[in-house]
Parts: sequence; structure tokens; C-alpha cells
Amino acid sequence: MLLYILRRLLIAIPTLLFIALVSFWLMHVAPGGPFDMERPMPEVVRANIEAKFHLDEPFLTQFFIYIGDFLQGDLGPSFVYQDFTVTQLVAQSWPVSATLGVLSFCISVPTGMLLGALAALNRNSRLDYFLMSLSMTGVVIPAFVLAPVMVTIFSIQLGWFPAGGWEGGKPIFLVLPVMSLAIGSIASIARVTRGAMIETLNQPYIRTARAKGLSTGYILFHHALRPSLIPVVAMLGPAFVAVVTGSVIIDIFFGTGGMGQHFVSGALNRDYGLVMGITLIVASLTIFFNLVVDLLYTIIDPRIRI
Amino acid sequence: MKIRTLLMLSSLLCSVTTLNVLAKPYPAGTSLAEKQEITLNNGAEVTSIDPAKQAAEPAFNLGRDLYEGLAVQDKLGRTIPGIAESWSVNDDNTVYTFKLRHSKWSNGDPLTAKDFVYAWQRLLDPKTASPYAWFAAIPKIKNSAKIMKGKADPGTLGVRAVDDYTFEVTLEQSVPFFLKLISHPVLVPVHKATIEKYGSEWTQPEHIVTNGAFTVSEWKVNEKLVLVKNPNYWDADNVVLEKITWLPIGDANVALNRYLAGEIDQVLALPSAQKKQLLRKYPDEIANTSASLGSTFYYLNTAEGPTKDIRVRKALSYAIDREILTNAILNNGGIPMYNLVPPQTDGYKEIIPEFAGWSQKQRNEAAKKLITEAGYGKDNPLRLTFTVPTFSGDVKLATAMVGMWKSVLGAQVEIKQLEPKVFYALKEPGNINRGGWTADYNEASTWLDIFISSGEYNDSRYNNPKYDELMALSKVLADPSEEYRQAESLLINDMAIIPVYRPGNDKYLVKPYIGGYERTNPESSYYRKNVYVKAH
Repeated sequence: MLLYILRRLLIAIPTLLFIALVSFWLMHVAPGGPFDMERPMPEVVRANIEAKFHLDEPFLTQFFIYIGDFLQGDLGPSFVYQDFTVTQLVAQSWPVSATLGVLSFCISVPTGMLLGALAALNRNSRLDYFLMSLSMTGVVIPAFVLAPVMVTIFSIQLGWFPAGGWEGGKPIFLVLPVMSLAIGSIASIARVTRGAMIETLNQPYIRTARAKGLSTGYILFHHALRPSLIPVVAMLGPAFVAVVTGSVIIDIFFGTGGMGQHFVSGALNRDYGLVMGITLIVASLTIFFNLVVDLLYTIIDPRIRI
Repeated sequence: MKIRTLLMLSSLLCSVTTLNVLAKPYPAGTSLAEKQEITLNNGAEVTSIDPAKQAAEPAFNLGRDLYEGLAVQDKLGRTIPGIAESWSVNDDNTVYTFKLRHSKWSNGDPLTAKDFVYAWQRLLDPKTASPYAWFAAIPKIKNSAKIMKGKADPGTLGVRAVDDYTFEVTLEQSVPFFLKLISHPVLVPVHKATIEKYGSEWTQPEHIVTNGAFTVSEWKVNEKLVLVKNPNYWDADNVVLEKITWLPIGDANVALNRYLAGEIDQVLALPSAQKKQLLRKYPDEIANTSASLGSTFYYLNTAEGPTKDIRVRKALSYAIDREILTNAILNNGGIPMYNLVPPQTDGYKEIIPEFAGWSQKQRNEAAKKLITEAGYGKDNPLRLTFTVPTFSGDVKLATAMVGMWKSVLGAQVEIKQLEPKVFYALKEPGNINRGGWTADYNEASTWLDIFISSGEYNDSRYNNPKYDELMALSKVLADPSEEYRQAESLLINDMAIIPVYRPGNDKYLVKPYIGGYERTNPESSYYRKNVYVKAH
């Protein structure tokens, strides 16, 4: 097991390097650079700035300078927010996204699974139809529609919650962004759970358990839950990474200052430093959580060997 | 050297406005709120609050509150004393001497002429890589261009601390509008010791040292930037606001929501679809903002392609119904434009070309005639490409213009939408290309210099020796306004651009308890030291 983990972590290094090279290359071939502005700079000034950020060096030299700094834990300067290093920007914004992500995850996973299980147990009943139409609605309404509607109702009309801001993560500022993030995931988790659960409940060993006269609750928790978890966990690994690295819609709509906005504005501004930094963080997290998910499989289902 | 006082007008202005500056910003008898705090939207996150790294308005907007240069502007855009209490110039208008007031940095250090010398040299030093270094080269400060190109040492710049409170600037030649430049936010002093100690991180809240009415207490990128009153500011007794929270909200609808939820005190850009209804619903919160010095025009390629033919250029310009574009499409207070230099430009008399006085019907007829003369018709329609960035306003406007060209001229114009960064990096502008400008200073040359044949922003590739001659002549005259008018007439007669619209007076929403925020400055140079919160 330990050897397996070690091997996976070792493979991660070339994977990350490859991701870094490809993203670095993609950014540099994309037309327009960080210093192309509405009003172009005089050539002399532009040359000075490009020299400062090593943009006048050949592509591979730039890449190796970047990787060299990265290995020393330095994500380099932001090309656009020049008063900050990328490390500082990430240190400011990631806790925001992680808080929102973890909270919405803690709400959406149990709620989604509970609703999915309820629907599965009452398959084709009114409750099932009701829950599944609700969850279908949740899946199809994107956060950028949900967020303004919630703001109009809960901030402007009722005045219960602030319409935006972060203020160091005071609970009242978390409510609307967390809800906007959670509702969509509750819906999709419920749907996946329901599907997996129905499949498990149709297995012969569940029929055997029922025939033995075991109670529904006992069957559910002792026999059906674990096998139904596999598809859910497979989906939750990447979903967790996505949610803790920020949502651009939530960041822009609620002005939270999270990492999602940096990712998108970094790409639009051609902030090479910021985009590389965040890409590598997201890539590392994705690799790590995929490993965690693989390890979880062996716990959930002892038949899976690694 | 015989020094004589500068033009009578400016010295008169100094004495009048010095009084103005020292007064309290609110009328006698105003009852002030206990909590002097406001929240405003800056429209975008600033790239930097280092004066040498600022390159656009959201940053300049903060810069005006954080640092104070030799001069500032009053509410009507006139230059008034800032850190310099008075100034004088030698006989041939090349050496300016500024007498500085005794003032302090926010950390209590005395501010001296040496700080200005350091800041101006740093701005031009290639090592600083300032995107606005060229601004100090406009007034031809001695050696500025050479230093910017790395061909001279920053120490050779024509600036000098005669003593701690006398700052001297030497220009290579007389530049009539020099004093109009000195209120610009990149020409402020900076605190050398702090910069040397913290490098590029000196502007972070825990390090920053400023000399303006406010300083920074908190900055969370993309969330908020909080300014607090600087108790060491020279005029701190007259600064009422204690705290300004700036939010970087780019989306007009999000800003409006925050305003309606009572979280920001002012919303400048109202979403056009809801504008009428909002103004009706909140009559007590309507305020006016006067036209700023800006313009939107379209470059026409005068060097190659069908637009090389002046008849085609004129036809394209005539066939645009600017009333429809401004009133129906944009609905942002913009006004139709038929020239280049805004009429409210200081000391300038607007030129009004003949076609500005025609009805749209007359223009359309003239356009049809010209396009036929140029050899285009049903069998041989005019085909052009029109390059615009993907901003929704630009795309809407372009779509409407292409429709007008199709119906009036039968032209087939293809819109090429490019992502902003790709658009800015474009080297080949095609036939028609979205242009636009905001004044760097309140004088006509900021507009007309664009179109000299060697101009870096001359995307029309306009090349008229007579124009170049006039603009060169204007540089050595004490009053070049006639040369400016002649040059602009040439440009418009040659239709090197399609003038479309410029900002006009507009309405916006502000909480009625905010005072002192009259938006009348033509360069949109606002200082929050004049703002106060009334009891409510």
C-alpha cells in the first residue's frame, strides 16, 4: 500500500511538469500578452517591461526560469497585479475559496445522499418524482441565475443577508455564496446516489437480506450503503477539487475575492504568472484527490485491490 | 537668470484657490454624520497603487487620494496648488521653480524636493519599467526621452532640489501646457526609504507610506481596498472622511444590486435596460456627472485597401446615423461627435465641419453619391473588414453601423470580433478599426498628436505633411490654438477617422447623504478629501 502511494506520488512529478509545460506553451502561443493594453505602450517602455519579466528570453529559457523558481517554492510575480507575488495572491484568495468550497461540500454531500437514498427507497412514488424533479431543476439552473435571484430576494427585498463581500469570512457573508454553490451539487449528488442505490437494491444479496426479514434501515446501512458509495465517491473527488479552488461566478457575483476569479481574469489578462501558479495548484490537488479516491475505494469495497 | 512670475492668470488662480483648498469642504451649518465612512465602486481591480506602475483610471482614481503632487485640480479641472504652494517660470518658459509647502509623509517624515527628484527619476528609469514613463517625456523635461530609452542616466533628468523646499524643472524647450500636466497621478512624490526597503511590495498596507489625504489600511485583491484618513496630511484638518472602502465591481448589474442592498453609496454606470425605471424610482438619489474628455472614433486605414480612397472614407462616415447610435443603442448619455477635440477642452474653440450641420437624409444622399463615384454599386459592392474588441458595447455599436452601411451604401462589411488582449496586440488593423481616446491632459495636443505621421497610435496611418508641419509648429508657439484648429480641420476633411460619439452629461445614483461629490471635472479627476457624509 505504502509502495503504491509512493509510486503514485512519483508519477505525479512528470505529470505536473508536463502540465506546466503545456500550459506555459499554450499561454505563450495565445495571441496578445499581459502588456498589450487599450493604449499601446511606446516600444521603448514595452521593451523595458518585457525585459523585467524575462519575456524577451527564448521560450524554453523562460520555462526553465519559471520551473527553477517554482521548485524553490516561488510562484513568481503577478504580471498584472504588480504589487503582489502570485504566492501572496493565492494566500489571500485560496482560504476564501476553500472555506466556501468545504462548507458547501459539507452541506451538499449529506443532503444530496440523503435525498438520493430517500428517492431510491421510494422509487416511482410521488416522493421520488418530487425529489427528482426538484433535483433536475437544481441541476439545470446555473449558479449565475440562482445567485442574482437569491440576492434579489434575501438581500434587497428581505435584507437578511449581505449581497456581497467577504469581511474575513463572517458567517452572515457566507450564507448566500455557500447556498449558491451547494444547491447545484446537492442536486447532482442526489441523482447519482439514487441511481447507484437503485442498482444496489436490485442485487440478489439484498433480496436475500429482505427474505431473512431484516429491517429496511438495517439493509440500507449495513448492506446497500457501501456499494452505492462507489460511483458517488468517484464523482466527489474531482468535484471537491473544483469546489475548493473557487468558482468564478460566485467570486464575481458576491465579490468574495476567491481564487476562481483569479483563474479567469488571469487568463483574460494574460497574467502568465498567476495562471501558471493556479494551474499548478489545481493540477496538484486533482492528482492528490484522485489518489485519495482510489484509496477510499479499497476501504469502501474490500474486493478492490491496489 | 531673471525669474518672472508666471502668467498673471495662474498666480491669480493660486491666490484664489489656496483659500478654497484651506476651507472646510462642507457649507456652514451642515450637520455631519458621526460615522464618516463611505463605500464606492472603482469599476475594476487596480493593477498597482505604485504611482510608477499605474496605467489606467481605476488606479489613478486611488492615486489622487493617496499621493499629492505639485498641483491638484479643482472641481472644474483647473490646476491649483498641491504640495507646491506657488510656482514661477523663467523668461523663455523652460525653467519652472516650485516652492513646496512644509508637509509630511504619512509616517511623519518631512517631505522635501528630493522626494520629487527621486520619484520623477524613478518614473523614467528603464529599471522601473513604468507603463506611464512616456508621460514625463511629453513635456520634454530635459533628457527624459534619452533616459526612457536607456541612453542616459536617470540622474541627468532636468529636475533638481535647489533646497529642501524648492524644486526646479528644466525643459528642453518651451511647452505651453506643462502646468496642465503636473496634477497627473504619476508625477507625485514617493517615499524612497520605503521603496528601497520593501521593493515591489512597498505598496502593501503594512508597508506603504503616502503623502495624500488618505493611506491604505487593507487590501484584499478582488474584494476590497480600504483607505483611511492620513493624519499627517498637510490639510488633514479639512479632510472629513475617515474611511473609504473601494470595491472592484466590474459588472453593472452586480454593482446595482450592492447599491440597492445599501452596501455601496454610489453607482455610476446604470445598466441601460433598467436606467429609465431606476431614475423614476429613486428621484431623490439622482445626481449628474458632466462630460469627461473622451471620445470614441473609428480608425480608417488611409494607407491601403478601399479606405485609401477619400470618397469611400467620407461615405462611410456620412452614412452613420449618430443620433440612433447614441440615443437608441448606447443610451449612456453619449453625444454624437463630428470632430475629434472635445469642445470643453481648455482654451479651444471647437471646429464644426460642414456635414455636422446636415440632416441625416442629406448625409445619406451625399454618401450614396460618393460611393457611386468611387465605383461601387450593386454589381460591385464595397467589401470591408471591421475589427472590434468583444466588449458588448463595441459589438452592439459595430453591428448597428454595419447595418447602416448596408442599407445606405449597399456595403458588405464583415465584423471581426477579437478578444480584448488579441485586439490590443493587433499589428494589422484591417480597413476599419475601433479607436478611442481619453485626454491625458486638458489641451488639444493630447488629441491631435495621435495623428502625426510618426504617431505610435496613428492606426489610420494618416500621413499629411501639412498636418505634421502644423503640429510641429504648435510645439514652439505660446498660443498654438489656431494651428490646432487648422490641423483638426485637415484631419476631419480627410476623414482619417469616423468620429462617432463622446461622453455627455449623464445621470447616476448616489445616496443623498453623500456631499461634496460634484462630478464636474472634465478629466474625471476627483479627490475624496472634498467628500463628507451628512447626518442621516
